[in-house]
Amino acid sequence: MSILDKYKKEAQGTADGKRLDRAGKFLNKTSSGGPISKEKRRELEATMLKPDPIKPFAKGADQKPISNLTKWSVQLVLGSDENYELFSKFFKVNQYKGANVGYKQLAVLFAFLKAMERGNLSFDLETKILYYCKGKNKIEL
Amino acid sequence: MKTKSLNLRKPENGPQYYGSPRISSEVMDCSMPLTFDHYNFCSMKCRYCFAYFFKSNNPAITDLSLRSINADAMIRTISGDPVGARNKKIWEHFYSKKFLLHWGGLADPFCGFESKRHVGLPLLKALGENNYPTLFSFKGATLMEDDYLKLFSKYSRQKNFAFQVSMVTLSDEVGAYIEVGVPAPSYRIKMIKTLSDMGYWTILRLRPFIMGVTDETLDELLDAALKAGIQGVSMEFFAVDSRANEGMKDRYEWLAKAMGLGNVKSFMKYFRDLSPPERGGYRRLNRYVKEEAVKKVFTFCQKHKLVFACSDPDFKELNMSGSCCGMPDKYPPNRLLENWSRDQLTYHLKEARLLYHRIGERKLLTFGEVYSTRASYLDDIHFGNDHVAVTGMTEAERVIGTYRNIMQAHWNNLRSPASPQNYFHNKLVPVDYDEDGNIVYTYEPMEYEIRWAREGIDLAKR
Repeated sequence: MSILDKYKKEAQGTADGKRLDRAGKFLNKTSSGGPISKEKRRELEATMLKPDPIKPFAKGADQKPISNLTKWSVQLVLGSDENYELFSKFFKVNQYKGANVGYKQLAVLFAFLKAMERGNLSFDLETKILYYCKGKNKIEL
Repeated sequence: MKTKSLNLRKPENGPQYYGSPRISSEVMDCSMPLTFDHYNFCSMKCRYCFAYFFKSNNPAITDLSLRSINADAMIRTISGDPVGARNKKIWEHFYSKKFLLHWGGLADPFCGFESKRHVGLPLLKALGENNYPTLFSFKGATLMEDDYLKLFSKYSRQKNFAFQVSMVTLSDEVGAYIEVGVPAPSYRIKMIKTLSDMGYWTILRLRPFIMGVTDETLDELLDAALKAGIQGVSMEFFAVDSRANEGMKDRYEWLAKAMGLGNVKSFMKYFRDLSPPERGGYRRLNRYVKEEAVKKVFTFCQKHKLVFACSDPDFKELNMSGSCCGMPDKYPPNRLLENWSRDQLTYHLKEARLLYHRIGERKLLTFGEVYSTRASYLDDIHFGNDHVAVTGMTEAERVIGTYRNIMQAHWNNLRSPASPQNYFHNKLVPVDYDEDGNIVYTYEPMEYEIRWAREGIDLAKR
């Protein structure tokens, strides 16, 4: 016999016992939040809501940029993860701060970056000259 | 092991008085580290009582006699005439600055012991006479006795007192089942109303939030407390100490039934499976389990212009003030009630959330910035032994240890359950070291924030 059952037995017929009976009915009723019982809800939580693992310390993680453009430092709100991924191919990102705010129109910048990614544009870091590329031909801009 | 029981005899051995106040071990994210109880035990028998869990597992507590503080010495100290080395230190770091006193950390200021002994009554009077800012955490009905009501009525004009009333349900039946020896929830609502009507700052202390119990009457409870005049809600979820002794297992059995978990075995498994292991043996459920309830309370507070406070490590960033007990940032009726510590992570997490949702910037948190030298008690060797961590320290470490040393060790130890990353479970993540060699943490936006923002919940609001 559990402690709870023992207590309930002792309390039978007393004011405490009646109160416990009412409490038992309350506790066993279907959850007011939905069609499932609280027992079922606990089961579902145990199955579906496992905790996430802890993230590793980012210190020393590979932050090498894909391009050789490493000298410029700017702060931009990029608006989406896709834009961030594209941007980080050409510029070193010292700290990506995520996003949950509106962003300014960066269409021109990303059209430019997309052209660089396709190879239609290239930039010579030494001469600081931008080229338009078509096949093997490079035209200075 | 036999369940420990109390007796009301005078202590035969050991110190005559109970030593309080003390500095809370939760100081890393606590706005009111000066925590106080005037008895060493509480007359109530709440089945979820964390103080019972800690005390029944504390091998240093062998004498179960009821002791009270030396009220005369405390009254003299508060009034500027400190008695003894300990009181002089507390005067120096806290009382002289009128730092907010939290009365009701591990016991209830108005429980049955106070009704019989009245040790607290002259102390309450002294606090009133000195306009000393005090927050009471309580459930006990002694407050409604004439002497106490007269006293609180007398000082209601200066408003140096604030009150938070703990509730886990609005159902009197369920209350009787879980909170043995505590006034019925409906009576506690009446106490809130009485104090609110006097003009005091009152808070619904929704702690511990028990899944399967508190959620059952949450809407009704919030509405009733609002009608009674609350100005804030503070919530924290029930957590389980894995070091379950026999007395705790008795209590867990009752709670298992109430939560819909059947028996102790399923109860322990539920908490083991759903609590991040990095937080150690004090098992706190993960944030996914809590989100629905937090969202409901947070949006309720936004709608009714209440201070939302979350003492739980999960969702702590949602606090609307820097105090997770729900004390206001600004309180013009008596500015002394604003005098709680900002040198702690609740305040900085809240600020980090605001910064992120206002301008998209992820705040960097350094140890020196979070725990500034303003918090002078952190550097006083006198208080080092107040921290529960001393049980794992050598004698040499204890002699020279301060709170700052202990906190710095946790801050920089990524394996410690108390490290910011583990405790807040990825809400703060380490990104670098500062010039002193301490880890630098940054605010980590989470998926729920984007989802809530899309649903129209304003997370950029204070």
